[in-house]
Amino acid sequence: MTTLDLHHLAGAYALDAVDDTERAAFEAHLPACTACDDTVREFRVTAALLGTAHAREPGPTFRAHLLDRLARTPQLPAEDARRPVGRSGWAVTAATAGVVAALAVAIGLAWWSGGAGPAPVITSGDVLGAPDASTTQAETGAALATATTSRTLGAITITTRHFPDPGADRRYQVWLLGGREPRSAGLLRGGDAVLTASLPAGVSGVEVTTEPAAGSPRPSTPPVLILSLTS
Amino acid sequence: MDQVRVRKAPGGLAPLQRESVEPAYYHGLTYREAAEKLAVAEGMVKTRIRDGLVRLRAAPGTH
Repeated sequence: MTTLDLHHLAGAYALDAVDDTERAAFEAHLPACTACDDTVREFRVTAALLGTAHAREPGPTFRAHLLDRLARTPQLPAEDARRPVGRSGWAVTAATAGVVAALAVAIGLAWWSGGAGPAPVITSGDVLGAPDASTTQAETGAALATATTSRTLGAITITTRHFPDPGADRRYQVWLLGGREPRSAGLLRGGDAVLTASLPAGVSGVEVTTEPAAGSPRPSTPPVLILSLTS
Repeated sequence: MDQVRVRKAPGGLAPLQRESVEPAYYHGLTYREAAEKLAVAEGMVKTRIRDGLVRLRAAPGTH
């Protein structure tokens, strides 16, 4: 296969529409070709958007429903405390809860700023109840993801429902998009989970990838789902 | 509140592009299988998939 052939394969490769031989040849080509690497990355994001084509608008009672759940749900232990994130020193605590009922558990989430000691704690309840809370949903297959942002709180809460098991020693990793590179917001198990993270200015989207259980410094798999945030 | 922005389905694609992208994306066919199904040259499907993705990337629908 010529190099030109390989360049032209980027689209089919990004959609996983190649056979094993072509996949191997293209993957051997990728490390040496920045253009193809960039193209595939962009194509995969685009392809993931096709997977969110069935995104739907939350009903007017959606947030009230979440808040009601929050009030009635006992607190569950956080799985994934204190994941330092990003290069700028900001850090978040991500937390997951394993059952549907925990959709909006009031998990305490602490902010650390450059090691200067604990900053105010913002919970998923704070975000969902914020006057300026804005909600976006997307679904792919049976999996549903909801992102609620509060720009005044500078925080985002992501809830997932019916996410398939990501596999042994794998987790879903949530990334905030819009900066120079994706920033990790934390890890989630399959099933139903909730995570709250700080929301830096300029973040315009969220993507979810599957990564090793310990997390990845950057997305290493095609996104399973992408949410475009309201500004 | 409760605003939502969603991405458009690939409705913005030219028919031939959509015809190539959809079997690959939604039905899991390889581009060769899609070409066979569509009775067109493999290279053409490969190119249309690429062009289709470029087009979707260039105009990601929102709202």
